Amino acid sequence: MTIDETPALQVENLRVYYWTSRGPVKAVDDVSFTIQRNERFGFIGESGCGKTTTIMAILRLIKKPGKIESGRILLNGQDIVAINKEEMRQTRWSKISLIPQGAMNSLNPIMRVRDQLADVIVTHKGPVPSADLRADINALLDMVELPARVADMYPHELSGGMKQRVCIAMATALEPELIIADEPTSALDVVVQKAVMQTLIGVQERLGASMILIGHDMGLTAQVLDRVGVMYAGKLVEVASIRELYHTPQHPYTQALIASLPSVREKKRGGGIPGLPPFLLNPPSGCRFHPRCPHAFDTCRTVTPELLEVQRDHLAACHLYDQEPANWNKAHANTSI
Amino acid sequence: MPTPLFELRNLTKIYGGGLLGRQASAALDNFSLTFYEEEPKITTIAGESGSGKSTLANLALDFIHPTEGQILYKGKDLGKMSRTERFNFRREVQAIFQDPFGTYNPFYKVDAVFDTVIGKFKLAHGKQEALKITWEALEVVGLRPNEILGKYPHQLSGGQRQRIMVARAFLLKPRLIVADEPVSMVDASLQVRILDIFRNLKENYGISFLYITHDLSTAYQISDDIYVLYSGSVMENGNVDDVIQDPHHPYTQLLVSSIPVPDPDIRWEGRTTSSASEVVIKMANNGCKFYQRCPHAMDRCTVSPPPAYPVGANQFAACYLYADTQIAVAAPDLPRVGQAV
Repeated sequence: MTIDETPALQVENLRVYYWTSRGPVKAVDDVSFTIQRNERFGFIGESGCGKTTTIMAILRLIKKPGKIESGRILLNGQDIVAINKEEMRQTRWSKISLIPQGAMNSLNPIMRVRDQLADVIVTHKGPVPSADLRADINALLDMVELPARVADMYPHELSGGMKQRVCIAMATALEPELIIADEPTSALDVVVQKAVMQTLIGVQERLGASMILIGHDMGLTAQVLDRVGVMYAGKLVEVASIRELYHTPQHPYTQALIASLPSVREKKRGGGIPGLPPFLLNPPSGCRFHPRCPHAFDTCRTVTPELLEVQRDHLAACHLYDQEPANWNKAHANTSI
Repeated sequence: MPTPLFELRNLTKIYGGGLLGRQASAALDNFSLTFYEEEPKITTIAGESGSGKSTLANLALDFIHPTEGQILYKGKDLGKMSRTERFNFRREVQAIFQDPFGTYNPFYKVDAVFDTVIGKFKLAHGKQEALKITWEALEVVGLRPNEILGKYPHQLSGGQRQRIMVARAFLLKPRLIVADEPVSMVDASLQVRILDIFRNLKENYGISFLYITHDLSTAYQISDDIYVLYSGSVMENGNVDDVIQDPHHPYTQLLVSSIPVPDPDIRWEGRTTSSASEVVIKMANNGCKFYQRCPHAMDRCTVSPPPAYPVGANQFAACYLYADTQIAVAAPDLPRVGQAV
């Protein structure tokens, strides 16, 4: 096997629990997925489904009382759950970087943009001649489509979109292999969102990096991703290419989610998913979606469905696909719930 | 002839200025809109942050007062109402806000939300009746009262809390609900359910909505007409289908083309340049406010603000591109979409 065939990221049976006085909250429970090089992968799901916990686990930034219970996270073939803290610190930013939610508020208000960018570079690369540093910073700003004069500005002098671009520059300063973006544009207006997102994609493609994007905006997801994982109550319930997921969703949860999206293309009534996501201290037995699922039958209440291939490169964790393909039609007969 | 219910007449709100010599800026500039008694409708005010849409909500709710212009409820100026009239206005014009987490007192059970308004507006005689109307209001918004009453806010989800706010407003039998970004903090799977409740309230209970949002997709789903604001001025207004399917103003065109459509086959076209996405230095300009970002900017755009030109049967765009266009528009005997001139 050559290096190039190693996936950028392989997550195997990841479990992250938050330990409370009443027992573990299983925020991420047995999640496995693989991200290829240059691929833009993403997670969708309702709030509290485990998207952010999953990426925080990949960065090993889970704070107590949370803990990675078990599982392997292979970055470029190397298990980063096993390495020590210092090695992990080195890995962050240089190999995996994060653009956090509301990233623009993470800039230091009393430091010029130049100094903040320099900070990232110097911390990881050691002292750099000032001429090189200046050139590096100019190149970074240019990459995120900001004029060079921004380097000498303070964050308050920049608009939201520009601050977000500075954060993208910081996150990509060390040419990471994996860029993780957690709702990178949720605080921006649509016009700015489109421009910033296009810049982010441009940078990711230029670096040849992989990307994980999480966001609650399914429209944005459809615009930028190659492949998506759908999470529900701490479980990964479906993984497919973006096209297949939106056009032929297999899991009843995904079907309901897609059917409920407001769009400017067509008007619809009804939709939405009845009920509420479960409380993860004591999730439902069997399939966690069964109390809200219109297709639930006996097996769903007792047996946890495995994430299996239901079509080529299309995984779903649903008992409807256990026996025969005839059931697919059953699932599609009533896509709007 | 329909009777006006709620009229916003040439509203202007200017912040700043005064002794310290801070630059005065118009958060809202000459805005007009009318709701009629007989024709409940959902009107969207769409705009980005800083467009003046929340200023408009605050004006309509009488939280702030206009610098110029008038707001009339049932023909009475808000500033000149008697005590009873004001009390009546407070009951019949209700508000729903963006943050379903911030509107509750965490120490009180959610029942307090209902008990307060029932007590204040004397909606019920005795506990039995109070419980009955609370129960009904919760059912109208699709909640099961026995799962809601007696709970504390932290025990409920954002979607549930926001629906309780709708139930609270409904309890008062309002004529108009001002909803400022009511679903932007709610999960997608619940957004449609809340929007369906709005539609139901309009159709079955005759309640009008002033729906304030940055999200054109949800606006398109529920509203009848729309006003697109930019920097305090109306850029385009009209029937929501016309404005979103066939936008005329360059700003509306930019907005519509930037919406991420939840369909991987309809991907964004073109690249948005950073100058189109944001212009940081706002230059003093007596003309069109969109001038600096506009791909069609002309000299005359800086001289005076463009008036609203008719661009369709029920559609107006404040843009000189349409100054010379002759469109066969049936002279509207009644400005159903209040012109922002």
